[in-house]
This record gives sequence, structure tokens and C-alpha cells, in this order.
Amino acid sequence: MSLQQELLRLIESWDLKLGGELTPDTPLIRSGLFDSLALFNLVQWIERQIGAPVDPTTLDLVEEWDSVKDIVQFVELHRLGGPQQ
Amino acid sequence: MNQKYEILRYRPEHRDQVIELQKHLWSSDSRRNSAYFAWKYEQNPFLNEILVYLAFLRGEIVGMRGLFGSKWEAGLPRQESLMFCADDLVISPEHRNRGLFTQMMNAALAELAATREGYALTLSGGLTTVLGSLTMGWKTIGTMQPVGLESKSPGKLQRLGASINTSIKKIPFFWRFAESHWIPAFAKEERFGQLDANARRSPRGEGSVWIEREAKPEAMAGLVAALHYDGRIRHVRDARYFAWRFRNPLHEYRFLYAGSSRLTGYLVLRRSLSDLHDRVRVHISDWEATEVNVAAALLRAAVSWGQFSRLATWTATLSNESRRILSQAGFVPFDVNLTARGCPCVLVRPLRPEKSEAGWTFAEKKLLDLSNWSLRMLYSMSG
Repeated sequence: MSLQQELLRLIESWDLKLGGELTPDTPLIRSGLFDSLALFNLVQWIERQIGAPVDPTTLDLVEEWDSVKDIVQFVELHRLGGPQQ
Repeated sequence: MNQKYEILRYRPEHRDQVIELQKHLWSSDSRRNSAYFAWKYEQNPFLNEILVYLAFLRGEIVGMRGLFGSKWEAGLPRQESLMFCADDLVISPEHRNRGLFTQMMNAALAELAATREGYALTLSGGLTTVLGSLTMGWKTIGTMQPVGLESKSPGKLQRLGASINTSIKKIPFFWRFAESHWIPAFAKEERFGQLDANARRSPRGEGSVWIEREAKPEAMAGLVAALHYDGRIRHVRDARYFAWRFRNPLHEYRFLYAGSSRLTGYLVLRRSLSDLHDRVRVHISDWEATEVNVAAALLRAAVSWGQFSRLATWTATLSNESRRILSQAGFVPFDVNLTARGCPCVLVRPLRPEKSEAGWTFAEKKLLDLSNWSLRMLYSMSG
């Protein structure tokens, strides 16, 4: 299973009011779909993937984590030891 | 977003439901919750209206977000500003993950922005609150860099208390009293008992340190006023504030004082009384002194008399001297799992969001620059 598929399935399991199909491009934060609890769960998933804690206060969450595609890109960048703030 | 919920501002007829709802956050004790609500919102010295926003579902309150008044000063000459501290986010478990935090916070800020200028702060948010806030335009000024001291060998009273408590828990029927008020204070796992037993209770000459259970609002405010002020952003600490601040029903305080005829320093210790919070951990809420050696003496007394299992404080904006004193006393970076995630932190946002970040200033000091702040745990409900 790809990272993207794994994350899509995970989000679908969170009992959010999706109101439609969840796609890799569905806006999660801008739309208000993701509230603080979902973000907390997301942080935990991201940290498991990259093997390190994430400081969300250094990020623009709306720009970097608004869609599954964005999140997977973030994970892949940081898995490779990319720049952390 | 679910449209069934209604967000309304608090009215007195909502009080009982709010007290019950806060059994998820403040404590399991309705009387303590009621006293806390009264202290924080009804008796707040800086705001004579109650800014609490509630989420309703079919007439039932399922969520709350409050903003309490706080007064800050900055600049030379000093300017003062009322700021609104967002706090007390609670949502009934079955209604979480529904966007209620965002709805309540947006309702609060929209109402405030309609009639006021200025800023809102979040001083005590956990990671979940911080995450939700960041998506609503709040910005962090930085982590508070907590340091702490863990006692390797608890004092005799703690060992005795822990032993008694452990034994009680194994006895049928009596296990329910293991954490109750029926057990004398010394028998419970952690109290100020060790501190109270060891500490000097009255001054003995100039330069001595002693402990009291009550604040000295006038003397403490006088000391703060007499100390050099560099113009950084800080909470106003006058007698009125001190007289109110330490009446927090969720906390218990001890005050170490230095000096004799004249107060030359104080150090405030705080412990939680809530059954929902860590009652073992003690915080240094505030700490001021006229000289470095007085500050050091206060800290030494707190550490040696208290024999606390865990003693912590924030250091993000302390002087190098204060940090050195803490380090020499054995304090090391604490809550590393939180600081790695940017917490604990202070968040800020203007009431009117159209301001660009460059314009987020108070007395011409940029709010997003941590070096412009002088912070104490006391200013948050962690203290």
C-alpha cells in the first residue's frame, strides 16, 4: 500500500463528516474538515512515518498539510532527512 | 462542518451546565469547578463581562471556550493593554472531531473584533489546542523552554505516604479512599507536607528565607515595582493582581520570602489540587529578587525544603543569571517530548485578522519576537 493510500484510509477511519469522496487533493484544513483532534492524530501519524517529532509551530499548516498529497510530500521530504525548521 | 450545533455566548442560566461540562477538564468536583469559574470569570479584576462561548446541541451544552481578562504592560514609558487569554477549551467526548473548537473560537473573535482592538493570547494550550489555533491564524512567539528537577529520592513523608496509599488500594472496599480527602494529607503521594515540615516559618534576621501560605500582595507588588524594568512585554503585577491571582481554587500555593524588615525577594510554588491533573508536579510560578544571591537563596530553600518529586519552571525569557542559578541547582531541560513539538508555547493573534504580522506590535514591540517578552508561568494557568 502506498503512503498516500495508507493516509487516505486512515483519515476515512476518523469519523469525519466528509460529505463526499476523499481524494488526495481534498482540502482538509482550509475546508474546516480537519479540526484540532484530527490534526493531533495526523501529527502522530507523520511522526511515525518520519521517525522524529514534528514541531507544528514552525510550519504553515494550511500551506504544508492541507491535502493528503501535501502531507505525503512533507513526509517524503522529511524522511530523507530534509530541512526541519 | 456540522450545522446542527449552535454557538452562543454564556449567560448566567448556563452556569450549572458549564460546571458539569468542566468535569472533563477542570476537576471532577462540581464545587471546585464552580469556585474556579467564579474566580476566573466572575471575579476577574480586568474584565467585568464574561467572555465564554458555548456550543449547544438541542439545548445541551457540549463545548466551551473561554477568554479571561489580563492586563499587560510594555515600553518605556509604560503602556498598558487589556489582552484576552483564550483558555478552558472543553468538548464532550462524543462531540469531538466536529470542528466545534474552530466554531467557538471564531465566534468569540468575531464578537470581540466588532467592538475592540488588541490581541488575544493562548498561554496554557496543550498540543491539540495549539494545532487547532495555528490553523486559525494564531502564531507562536516561541516555546517556553521548561526546565525541571526530579528528585531521585523522595522524602520520608512521600515514601510513607506512597506506601500507605499503595496498601490501601489493595484492600477491598477501602481502595476507593486511597485518593480521597479522608486520608490525612501526609499519607498521600505528594503534598506540600515536606515543604511545610522543613521550612522556616518566620524571618530570622535580614537575608533569611521563610515560607508562608498567603501572598503578600502589597509587598510583592512593591518589590516588582522597585526592580529595574526593561520595557519588555509582561503582565502587570500590582497588588490588585496578586490579591486575585493566588485565590485560584484549582491550585495550592506556598510563598517563600526573603528579607526581614523589607522584602528583598519572593518565590512562589504552585501545586494542582485537581484530581484530573498532575498533583505531584510543582511549578515555580514566579520568582523575583533584588540581588542574585537572594534569588539563589530562595531557590535553594525551595529545593532543599520541598524535596519535590518534580519541580519545574519556564526559562524562555529569564536572565542569564537566573538560568545559571537554575542550572547550578540541577535543573535540566524538561518535558522534552513537548518542547520537541513546540510546546509549551504562547500563541498570539490580533482580534482583527487583517493586520499583517509586521503590524503585530504592542508599545512598538513586535509580538512575534520572543526577546520582546518577559514571561512567568504565573501569567498562564500553568502557574
